[in-house]
Amino acid sequence: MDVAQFIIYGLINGALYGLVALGLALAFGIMGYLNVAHGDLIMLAAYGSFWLFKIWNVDPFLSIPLMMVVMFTAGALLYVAVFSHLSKFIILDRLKNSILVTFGLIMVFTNMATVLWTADERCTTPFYSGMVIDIGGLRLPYIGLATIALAIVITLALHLFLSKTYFGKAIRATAQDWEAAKLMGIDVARTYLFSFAFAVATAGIAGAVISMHVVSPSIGMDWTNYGLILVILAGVGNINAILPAGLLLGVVEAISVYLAGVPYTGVAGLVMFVLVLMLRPQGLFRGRAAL
Amino acid sequence: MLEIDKIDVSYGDVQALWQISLKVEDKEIVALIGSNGAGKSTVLKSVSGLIKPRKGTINYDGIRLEKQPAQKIVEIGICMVPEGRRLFPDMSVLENLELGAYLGRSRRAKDETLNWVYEIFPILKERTGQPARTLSGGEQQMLAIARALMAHPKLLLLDEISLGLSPVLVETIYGVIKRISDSRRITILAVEQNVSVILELANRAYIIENGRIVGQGDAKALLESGEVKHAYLGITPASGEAE
Repeated sequence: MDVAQFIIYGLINGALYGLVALGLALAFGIMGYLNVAHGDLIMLAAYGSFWLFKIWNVDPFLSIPLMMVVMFTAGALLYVAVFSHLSKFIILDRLKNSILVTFGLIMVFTNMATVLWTADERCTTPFYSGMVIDIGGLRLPYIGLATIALAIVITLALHLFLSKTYFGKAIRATAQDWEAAKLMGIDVARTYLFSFAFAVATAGIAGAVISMHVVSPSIGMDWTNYGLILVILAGVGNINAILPAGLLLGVVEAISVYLAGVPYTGVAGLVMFVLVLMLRPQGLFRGRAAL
Repeated sequence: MLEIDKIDVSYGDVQALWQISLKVEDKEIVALIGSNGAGKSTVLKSVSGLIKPRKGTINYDGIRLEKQPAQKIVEIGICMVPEGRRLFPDMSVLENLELGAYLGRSRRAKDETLNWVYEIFPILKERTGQPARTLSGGEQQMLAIARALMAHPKLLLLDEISLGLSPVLVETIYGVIKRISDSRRITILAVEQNVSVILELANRAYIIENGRIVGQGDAKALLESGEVKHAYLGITPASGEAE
């Protein structure tokens, strides 16, 4: 197969990585919470899209708005029950405590999904799955193209929200200095609640796409890993760079598969992760911060 | 009128303020002076709601501030210029100013207020699109003050606004503060280590040491007092006044 074809698959995977990492990057960048259970929230959302498809034949892409509402609500409840109690800590303690708490949540979510839906692998199969557009011998899958378009639209919308609206600016201000934000009259507790719930809502977007690949209770950690790699590549707090970082990772992975073979798929990302942490810990794309 | 009545404030197990009481009448400029770590900033933080006193009350025009969340206190018309400026470093000058006018009334009057603060600090208009972190120290302090003014405060809390600025710039900035206070009838409670500058400007002052009020009086009288000269201005008293 042609290297160009590998690169196209890389871009498609990269767009999905971008969608996966968005929620992780938001919670980490705004509140300093490292939610390692984000991949598991994506897994739960993917089951949501799967069952909507299975029972009512709802198209996975069309299930996104509904799953975002469901995940937003779940995120808000999770914040009130668990994460609001961490907000009184300094950033470093928030980081440590959130990792501990969310590791616990992974156990809960994974086992809950196994009990409810067994460990079987499943996926949604809308009529267009497997269909491709052929351009000069290059195969462009419908689902892949839609994933890239979705990732671009979501990233742009988020950028516009954070940079143009008053509430978006309040979120960025809170991320940069929450105490000063309080002095502006910004309700920091409410800003945190919304931001966390929204970060979890993005799991509804990634989950819908992932439901067309493979869903099982154990997929969460793999997606969290991709999310973490992207947060580091992009630079903490640099939301705009998440999608470019995802595309870069996807392409690097694809080229390494082309050169070294499928068993090395995950290696490329981890090597990049380590190299960036060693050589450029502020992230590859650190220019002007987004948050 | 702001009236602080016997507040105790602690950071965890460490008590920072003991039975602090002070009053600021409307349109008055009141200074709070004292050495490093005396508790001056803690008093301002208690008023602005960043920390809550363990005991005592803070009254402002009949509203019990110690029971209000910080955002409510801004809405009431009390704004603080915090120590170290605390700008939003990666946001532009304009965005910082817009956030100053975050709440209801001030947000609706935003454009008008913006013109006013640009008139006071013309340099900020030139820098409007620049990230706050790229401004010089003096410009950053001007932005911090302008940001607080965007909320149309009735009571302005100033925390060490002279810190790190050249003497000329300190004069300029306090000159602006005086003009604003006169023209807009804004009440000011200022914490300042630059004792001579603030006592020149203020109507009255309180002296705070180790978390307790140890003296108060007319600002000009304090400026002339041997004790203040000796302790805060580093001027050795003339032989007749020595202890």
